Parts: sequence; structure tokens; C-alpha cells
Amino acid sequence: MRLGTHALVALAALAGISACAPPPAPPERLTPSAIATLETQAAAHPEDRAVTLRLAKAYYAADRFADALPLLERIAQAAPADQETQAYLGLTYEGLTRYAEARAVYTRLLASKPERKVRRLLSGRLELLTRKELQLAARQAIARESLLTRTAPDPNTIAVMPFHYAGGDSTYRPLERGLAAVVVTDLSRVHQLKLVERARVQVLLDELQLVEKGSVDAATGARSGRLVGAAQVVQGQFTTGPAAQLRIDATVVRASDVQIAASGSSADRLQALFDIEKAVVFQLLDKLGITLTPAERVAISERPTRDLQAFLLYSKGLEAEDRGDFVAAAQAFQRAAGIDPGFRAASQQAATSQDAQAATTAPATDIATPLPAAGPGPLVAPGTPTLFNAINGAVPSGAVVLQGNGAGGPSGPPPSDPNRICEGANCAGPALSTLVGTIIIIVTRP
Amino acid sequence: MPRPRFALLAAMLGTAAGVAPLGAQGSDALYARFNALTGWEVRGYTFDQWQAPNPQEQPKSVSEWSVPFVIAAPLTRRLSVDLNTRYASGEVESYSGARATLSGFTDTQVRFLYTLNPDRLVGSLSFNLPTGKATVDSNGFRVAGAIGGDYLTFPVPNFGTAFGVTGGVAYAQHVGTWNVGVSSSLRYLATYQPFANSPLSYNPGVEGRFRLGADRLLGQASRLLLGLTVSTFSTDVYSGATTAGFGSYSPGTRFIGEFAFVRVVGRSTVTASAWDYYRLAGDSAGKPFPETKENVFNGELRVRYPVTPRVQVEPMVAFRQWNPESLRGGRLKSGGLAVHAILTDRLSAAVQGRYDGGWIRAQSGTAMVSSFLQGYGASVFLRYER
Repeated sequence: MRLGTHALVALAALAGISACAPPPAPPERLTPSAIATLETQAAAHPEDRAVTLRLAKAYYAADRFADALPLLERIAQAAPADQETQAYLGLTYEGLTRYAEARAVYTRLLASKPERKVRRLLSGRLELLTRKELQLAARQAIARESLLTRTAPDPNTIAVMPFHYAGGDSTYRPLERGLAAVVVTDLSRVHQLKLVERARVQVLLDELQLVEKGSVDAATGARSGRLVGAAQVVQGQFTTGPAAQLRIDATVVRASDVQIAASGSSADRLQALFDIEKAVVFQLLDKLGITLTPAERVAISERPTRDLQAFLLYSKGLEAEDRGDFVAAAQAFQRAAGIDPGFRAASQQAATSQDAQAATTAPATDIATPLPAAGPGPLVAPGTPTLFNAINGAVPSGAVVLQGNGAGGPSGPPPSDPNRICEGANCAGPALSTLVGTIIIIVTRP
Repeated sequence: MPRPRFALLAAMLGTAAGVAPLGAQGSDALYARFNALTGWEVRGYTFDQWQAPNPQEQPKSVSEWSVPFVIAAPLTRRLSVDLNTRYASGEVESYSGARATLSGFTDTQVRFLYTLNPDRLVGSLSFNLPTGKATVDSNGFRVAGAIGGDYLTFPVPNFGTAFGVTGGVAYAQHVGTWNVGVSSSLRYLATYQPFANSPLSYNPGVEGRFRLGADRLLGQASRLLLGLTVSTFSTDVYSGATTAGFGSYSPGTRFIGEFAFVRVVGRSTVTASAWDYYRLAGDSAGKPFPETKENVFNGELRVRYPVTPRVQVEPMVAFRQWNPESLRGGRLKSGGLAVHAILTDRLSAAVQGRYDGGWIRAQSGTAMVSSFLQGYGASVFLRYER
């Protein structure tokens, strides 16, 4: 995948902003003759880092990453604290698909505590880098499939496929990702198991172009498991029925011989989604002969959220993230976190998607314009908490005790709806024992 | 006058309880699920010997306990309702030994919320059903007055008024990195007789409110909420009193500012919140009543920590300052502890306790009176959700 030039340029130049002022201009695409002139200058003044950096940036802008790299490495060695050089070095490594080295450079830059916008761009860059690394790993795995099948994976490594929705209401299809994510989280609580990240599995399936087919059969699942280095693969499906019923079925398939090692199923009302999912996970673990410690059992029992709407939005976020739509992903995650501020996975994913989006789309013109302290762009959608905040103030109700996210705490909300007579007559509480007299005084005035 | 108390309440409870869970069906209603809350709550203050010309007439203690009944539920895909009423009992004991009590159901508030545009626009129609004690004798009014103040507040500040209707609308919009909500409402309350032994009737003026609220996430772990509510009132009219037959009062404009900052720190959730209640002086027929001007500031810090996956403890400290007119009218410092427990997947409980220490100083007639005071509060709430 070609790097987003604007984003990369933004990142590099912003690194420069954080180091010195005024901000450097993004590198322009120079003509071949202009590059030749720069090459001549750099050759004449090899000790001049500014000229060398200009040439490296020109190479980078012309997609001549291999030419830019030695120059940047030389400057970085001479001036390791130069963040602009470091940023271009990371970008150039990315351009050369040397992702591990790019990651090391970005991580070093992050550790130097740059300003907020640079930090976000770097975080986003790392997120995008992870996706590229996963894609590269998937392609390499597919290319080396015959070799992988002869290599026995760690027997405790397990991968979770996206669950297949067998129902007819497309509203619930995003749960295919959401359920897989929750199962991964639950199984990762078991110290005996090593989980393959959900994103790694998803990227592999995307590379194999299996997503469009809907379901992944046991043999394909086992093959996918082998490709991601898993000895076992969790595959599942769920259906919704009338009266908001939900049923989840799942199996653990051995990647080596495509035999089913364990199965589990549960059904209940849709609102009890996490009860059903936990029941299935416990059945699978039980049938795999894994004895859970009390702490593991408690950890698995934890619900990521108590709000089904929030979880559905979170699942939509995963769906958008998987297809690289970070704007939609961030909005969905933010809405999920807005509905349930305690839904940490949603809050974290929202921030990650925002950073990835910023790293993808930050235009070059933004570089010279420091962001206001308030922070990044319009990715948060207003929702129920905002509306409750507004309507509760205008149309008060004692039912506000049901909403735990307002300003009202144990001391209670402000007295916005007190005794109306007291409102007029200033019933200042118990000190005014002559309250009735006050009322009469008011009444008797002409 | 007969009132539709229990029958109406039962009908409303029955209607709400019978509602199917719409949350799973992609409901746009503001309340996506059925919720119910009940329990028991007590709040009280005891006063040291008053510095006053007539200390025996001053209160020794004021207390109130109540049992809330709160329900919220979606009715259709876009319409939801919440209902709130309480059974409450208040008591004032004077240093002379005299006791005044007032007990009974409060008014019932039923609020309908209709989603005109999901996540954007909500309309609301709220009814105040007069199921409470609007008409009380002088003893009852002593209690009603004691619990109706803005400084030493009680969970139930009002035992009853008259039938009322409030219409409002709220709109939420993204502005930069903020979610901003604006809302407005108009409230009408019917005429009622506040005193059992007097023909005086009281016609509260119409109240108009405007609210601006805003919230945003700060990084990955923090959330900020702000709010400002402005209320204006038309003139209250008193009539039928034997002494004069007519009177009026125009309450001063009221401002309420709110702030809350929530941050997740490790496994804990820290909440710093504050509100400020500011009311301008009212007037009667053009003559101002400067003593009705007041400001109450309340600040609070809470830390919620999960001791187990199902049990969280929440210590808190709070501060409250009351400034009637231009005086230093009172100050409270409070500490408390709440325990929140998830009993089942549908049932949760909250147990809270608090202690307050402070003082009050106010004008009573022409004299200034003052006293140190201690406050206490405890509550047990059970919440059901499906």
C-alpha cells in the first residue's frame, strides 16, 4: 500500500515544529534537474546537514526511498536529536516496507514527548503500521503455506474467527466482529492459552478474500489457523429469532487435522448477550479440559459493557476499522463510549481510530498551523448523554437518579425544582421559623 | 378535592412495566431500556443552641425520610417515559419541644420524551400530577418550609403543588470537539390552596427555562460536562386572603451552572463536580426584596474504586457555601461513602452514608440568628434494569 504522502509529510514536518520554530515547509516535488542541482550542492558540502536533509526530503518526495535512506541515516547518526530527520527516517523505512525499523523510530519519537498533534500523528502512524505489518505477515504466510503446514504451532495458541451471523436482521451483522473480539478478550484471560490478535486473523481472512463468502467452514478455518500459527481455531455462528432471542454456537477446531476439539452453545434473550457468550466460552474451556483459576473465572465473567446499544456500536466500529474507514470507526466507538462511559474498550478504540484517521488525512497545509489546545477535529457525535444533559436542565425530573453520568452526585443535583412558594418567599430553611408570616407579608402588599 | 392518587400511579406503573425491552431492537428512544428504582433515603440536620432572640422557637432538628418510586421505559421506538414519585415524611422539632410532621405521597412527575431526530433532537412533555400534599396546615407548612430551602437541601423539597405541564425541546450538535446541547422549556402550574385554614389561593407564574449543556472527551480517559440553566418567571399571584385579598410576587431570574470532570485513573473513576445556584432578588409590585437574592455553591470530589468486579466503593468529600443577599449565610463540609453492588445482571444496589458539619446564619424577622449544625444522610437504593 502506498503511503499517504500528505500524512507522512505532515508527520515529518510536525516533528520539526516541535523541535524548533518556525515550522519547516513540507518538501516539494522537485524536478529532476532541481534534484540534480541539490545533489551537486550536497556533494560539494557533505558536512552541510541542511543541504543533505533537503536532498533526502527531495528524494523522499520523489518516492526515491532507497536514495533517501543513506542520507537520513548519516544525518541521524550525526544529529540523533534532530526530530525532523528522525521522522523522515521512519517514513522512509515505511516506504521501503522495513516496518520494524520504522516502528522503532516512531516509538523513539513518541518517547521524546513531542507536542500533542505530533504525538497523535505518531500514534496513528503506528496504528497504520500495525495493519501493514499484519498484511505483510499474512501475505508471507500464504506464500509460505506449504512450509507452515509442516511446522507444528505452539499447541496452546488459539485463534478466533469472526462469528457468522445466520439470521436475517442486518442490524446484528456487526456483532460478527464484536463477538469475536469479546471471545478473544475472554480467552486471553486464561494463562494457559496464547491468543492470536483478532486483527491478525481478520487481515488474513481479508487477504484470502474469505469475508465476502460469509462463513468460514471448518477446513478453511483450520487452514487460516495454521497460517496465523494457531494450533486451534474457534469458529462460531449466531442467530436472532422472534421475541429478541439470541443463540450462539461455537466450536474449537484443531488446525492440524480439522477435528472438533470442543463445542458449546447457549440461547436466551438478546439482552442477555454477554450471559450467552460467557456460557459458550465456559463450555468450550470446560471441554478443552482447562481448569480455570477463580481469578480467571471472575475475569472472564466481566462484561465489557452493560449496554447492548453501546456494544452494537462498538462492533460497527470494528467493522469500519477493519475496512480502513477510521472516520466511521471513531464515530461508532465514540458513540459507544458516550452511551456507556465505562466501556473502556470503546474509549480506547475511539482514540486509536482518531489517531489513525489523523495520520491518514492530515493535509500538508495543516502542518504550519498549530492546532488549538482544545484538540483534534470533529469526530465525536453528540448523543444520548448530551441530550439528557440538555433536557434534564430544561424539563427536570426526579428520574435523573437513573442516569449516573450527570453532575449530580451523593450531594444531589442543584435545587432546580424546589418548593415554589419557598422560591417566592425565600424559605431559607429552618432558620426562618416565621415563614408563614413572610408569606402573609407578601400577600398583604398592594 | 379528590385526587387520582393510587389508581393513576398504579396505571402508570403497570403501563411502564408491561413495555417490551426495545433496546435490543435499535430503539431511538432516549430511554432504550426499562429501569426501575426504589429504596429508602433519610436526610436530616441537627442544630446546636441558636444564637437568637427567641432560641426556644428555633428548630432543634429537621429530618426527612422517603421511599422513591422511579420508572423509566421506552414506549415505542422513539418515545420513552419516566415517572417519579415518593412517599415522604418530614419532621421539625423545636427547642421548645414542639414537633411538626408532614407525611404522605408527593406529587408524581410523568415525563414523556420523544426523539424527533436520533442523537439530535428530543421533545418533552412533562406532567406534574397532584398526588401529593399541596394543602397543609400551619404545622405542615412549617415542615414544608424547612425542607424547601436551597442551602440545607432535602431529597424531597416539596410535598405537593398543583397540576402542571412543562413542554420542552432539546437539540444536540457537534461543535468542534464538543457536544453541545441546547434546550428550552415552558412550565405552567395551576392554582391551588397552600393553607388548609385559609382561603388563600396561590397561582404560580409561568416559568421559562433555557439550558446550554456541553460535554466532551478529554483524551482516552477523561470526560467533561458543563451546563448553564437560566430560569425566568412571570408573576405569582396570591388571592382570596382575608387580610388583603390580593398580592403578587415576581421571583428573580435564576441561574444554575454545573461542572463535572470524570477521569479514569487505573481502576478508579475520579469525579470532580460542582454546581452554583444564583438567584436574583424578586419583587412585589415593583418593590424589590433584596433578601431573596442568594447564591449556593456546591463542590464535590468522588473516587469510585472496584473492590471486586461486582462491588465498587466510592468515598466522597463535599463543600457547600450559602450566601443569601450579601451575607455569609452558611457553610457545610461533608464526607461520605457509597457502595455500589451488582447483585444480578438485572439488579443492582447502592448504599450511601454521609456526615456534614457546618453552620447557618440567617435573618429571621429583624434579627440575625445563627447556629452550628450537623447533618446526616443515608440511603439504600435498588435498581432493576432489563
